[in-house]
Amino acid sequence: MEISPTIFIIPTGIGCEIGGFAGDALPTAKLLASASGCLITHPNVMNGGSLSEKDKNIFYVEGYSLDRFARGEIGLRSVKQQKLGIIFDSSIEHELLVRHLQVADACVATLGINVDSYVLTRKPLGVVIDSGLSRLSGGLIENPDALIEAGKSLIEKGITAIAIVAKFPDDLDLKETNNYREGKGVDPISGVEAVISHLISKFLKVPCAHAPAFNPIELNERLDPRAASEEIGYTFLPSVLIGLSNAPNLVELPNKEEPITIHPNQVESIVVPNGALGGEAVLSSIERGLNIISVKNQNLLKVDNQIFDYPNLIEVENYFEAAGVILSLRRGINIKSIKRPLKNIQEISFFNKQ
Amino acid sequence: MKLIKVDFYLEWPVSIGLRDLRVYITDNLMKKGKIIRWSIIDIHDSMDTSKIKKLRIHAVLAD
Repeated sequence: MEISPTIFIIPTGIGCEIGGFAGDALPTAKLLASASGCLITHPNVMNGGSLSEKDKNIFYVEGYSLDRFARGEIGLRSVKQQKLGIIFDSSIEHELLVRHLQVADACVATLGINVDSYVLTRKPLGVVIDSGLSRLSGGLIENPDALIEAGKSLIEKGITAIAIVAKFPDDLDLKETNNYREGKGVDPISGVEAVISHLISKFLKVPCAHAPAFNPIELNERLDPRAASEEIGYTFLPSVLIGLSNAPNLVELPNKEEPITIHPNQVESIVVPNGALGGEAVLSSIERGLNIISVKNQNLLKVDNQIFDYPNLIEVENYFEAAGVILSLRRGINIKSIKRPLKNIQEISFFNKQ
Repeated sequence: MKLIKVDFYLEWPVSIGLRDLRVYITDNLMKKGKIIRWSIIDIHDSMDTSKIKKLRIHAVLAD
């Protein structure tokens, strides 16, 4: 059966009921990958702190690069293995740094991942968390040049994909953090995480992903299962290294010399939460006339198709239904044929009827 | 390089079709800086009869 390449997006930091926590959309990604035969998705979907999983039908692409793919600017080339380097924020304390280095060694020893080397930034990255008035997760870093410089030094040594570990403030709003851990709030740090990885993607154009570094926080006995994978170990690095270990290469288009596994022109659909139609990948997909599969997945945004009125948008109740739609598209089955009531076919006149 | 957060309203004129909306927004953002991250986080109908919609844009830009 032919594949039906599909982009799967759960925007970071908008409080999605599914995918707004710690890799809790990973099972959904596996389902959609099974239905489509080829799913292109981003670290926010796949990274579950200490837990993650490889799937031969899933392409792990950082959000900024995924937007570029959706715009048709890059293609994806499968690789057997990336040569990974890690950028560590120099403000990470020694003991916490050693914990992270041991995770990297474990991924080499136990999982066979090619983690080659690491670099410390010359200056602290200076993470600033600021959600503003919108309740969405947001913020930035004060020293982006230090991040880019560290990434360049890794690439000069032959590194092909980059994990970034930034130190996050220990004085995070405990109430907000515990709301998130108990499944009631927005991930307070994910907006900054996106900025950090987007910077590497934009300026260095290599596969990358980010893991935050935190000192241990107190036990929360009311933990929501969706946030539990971030409570298992000392770091969130394993999922990033697993995801990047065979993330696809990014091939600038047009390009007639390098083989491409998935070209953006092959993509047929994009799956997004209802209300989250205002992102770049969705708007690019609209430009290209792709199917938008809009899934009920409660979140803070209300940018929906009532205003856009895009004709190729299919609204579904849940991700099971989304998988069914993708499978129908993959098999060339008219979706209308499955639904009731079924309308008669329409006559098209040569002249406009008045 | 310095990063800045911007949160602003942008008018979406009737003359700009849906398929041109992304480029319309990014052209406006690029006047303010290099785009790192952006999205539409809300859309309002104009209060008058002009049919102009207002987009609320969240973005992080680099100078």
